Amino acid sequence: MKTVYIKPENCIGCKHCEVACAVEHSETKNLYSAISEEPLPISKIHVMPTFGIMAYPGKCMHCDPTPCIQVCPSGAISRDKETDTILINEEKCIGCGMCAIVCPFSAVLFNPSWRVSVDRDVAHKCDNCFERITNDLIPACVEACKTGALGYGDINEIIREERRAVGKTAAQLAAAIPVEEKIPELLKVWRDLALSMSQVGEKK
Amino acid sequence: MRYVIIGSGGAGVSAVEAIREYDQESEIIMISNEDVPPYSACLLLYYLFDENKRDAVFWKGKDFYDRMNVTPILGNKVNKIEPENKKILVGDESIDYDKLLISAGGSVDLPSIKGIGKNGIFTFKTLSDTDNIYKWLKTQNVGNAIVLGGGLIGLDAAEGLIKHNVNVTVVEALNRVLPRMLDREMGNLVKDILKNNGVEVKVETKITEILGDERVQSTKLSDNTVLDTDMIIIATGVTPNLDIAKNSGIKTNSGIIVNEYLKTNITDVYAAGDIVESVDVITGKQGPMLLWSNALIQGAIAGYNMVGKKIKYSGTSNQTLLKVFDTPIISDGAFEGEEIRVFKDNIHKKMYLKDSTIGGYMLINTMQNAGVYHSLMISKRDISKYKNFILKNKFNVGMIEIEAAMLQEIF
Repeated sequence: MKTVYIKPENCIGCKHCEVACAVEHSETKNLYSAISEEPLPISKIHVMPTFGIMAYPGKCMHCDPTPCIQVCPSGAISRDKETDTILINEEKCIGCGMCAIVCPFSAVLFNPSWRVSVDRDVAHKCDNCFERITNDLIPACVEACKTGALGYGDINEIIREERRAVGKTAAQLAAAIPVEEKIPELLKVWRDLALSMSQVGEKK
Repeated sequence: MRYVIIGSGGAGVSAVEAIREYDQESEIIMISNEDVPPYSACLLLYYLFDENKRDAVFWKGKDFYDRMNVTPILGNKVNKIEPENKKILVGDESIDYDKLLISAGGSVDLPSIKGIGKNGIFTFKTLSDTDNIYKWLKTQNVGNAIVLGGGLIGLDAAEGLIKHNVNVTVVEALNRVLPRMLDREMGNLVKDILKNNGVEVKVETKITEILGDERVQSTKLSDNTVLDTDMIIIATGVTPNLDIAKNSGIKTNSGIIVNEYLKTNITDVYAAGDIVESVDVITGKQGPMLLWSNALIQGAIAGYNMVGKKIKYSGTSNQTLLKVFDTPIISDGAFEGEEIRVFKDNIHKKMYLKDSTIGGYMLINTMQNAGVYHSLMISKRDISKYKNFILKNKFNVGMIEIEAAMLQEIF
């Protein structure tokens, strides 16, 4: 099952994914016309500042079991079996907020949608770019991510690769072989720069 | 194999869906005392707002029974359950079952007030209740209404009636509205929201007598005021329909007693929803949960166990959400222990800590991070690190994720 995966260690908080997401889910799908749409398209991925200069791109994890499906009083949320994506039927959504208060990732926001009406709030959350993935494209946020913080692939493959890397590191450590850096050099340089910039004027 | 499900509410419907996920062939019989397709009780308010939205309450579609290949027996009551013969009696008919699910839900008990039998007194729990309210609104010249009970259903009813230009007075016996959800301070804030939208609220008040001939004319309250009244909505709370389990050998207390697989003390008989006595994982209190979300989760788990999957029900908290005139009000857990609060502009947040885990919280006019608080509370995570800013806007789920990543030393 293919899914978007997050590597928070690579995220620098540039918010490219947010812009790409908002444009993809707008009516016109074009940045220049999207900004004058009514209602204004909003992003379904949220880059959040955390500790220090670390950022985290949060989005719907399409979990299973799915608390939001379990509690929805209008039957508006469903799972697409083929792509394993949780989808919201905006016509049926009454904007009650039950899904938002059970979501462990607080990934559901309420805004008007161009698909239904400008004066009614409905649930907004990541749909894994359903239109794109059914047309063999990768999700817009993954396409936009420049640092590899977001990726798209088979979940089992990702876990397998990750496990292999951990095993390799452990073996190298045990054999006292130097371990190569996992985070790209440029990212480290950028982070060091950002950190020193953020400390300008601070008393040592 | 024949599955029999008593009740077509949230628990029954999600049990059918769970059974059909694994078993498309077996016969499912669903018995309901209402003659309509399954509907969502939470959507009744939207029907009360707008009469054209009646079809929207059928949350799984009007074709649910056909689509799920379910044989419905509608408009009929279950008279008796005979577990020793694996039979139930519906009307005069006897129906055999292999697996039985009791999800008969609850109903509103009418309080014993003088004059309660008069015309113009309604409950607001079922679809037919709402139909009756509409009939009354159309045929009678309704100017003033009283809602007895300031709980979830009461406030919903008040908001619905306000949309029909009726003067509404909410009468609540305790010292605040939403007594099961909020403490007194937060209850007063909700009272202000109601007042700003034209709902009159009287706390620590009861109805002593309902006056009028056949139809309600006026109401005498315990503070000796007499109000002109054209209709009364009773919303004093819901009790499980335990009559159904009488003389069947099924153990009951305040609700039907079930084990962690939602099975009753009798083989092949399961129970789910409002009729079940559940344990609150935070407060440890036993009693019927009476929440839509809990009913859906229990129904699905009971369904899976009925098809032979062993799935445990891990319990839930009393997390509740109500929108009062578009202002979300959220409450969860127990309100004891160390208190932290952020009251700013129109946003009010209160949280209670117990041994550096979240014990409970109340939020008014914001839904930000509500789900994160809930999952931190249920998983009993140590939040002492976030204590100083957990209620502030800067707190977000990313911090929890980054902390987890740091523990794995990937940085």
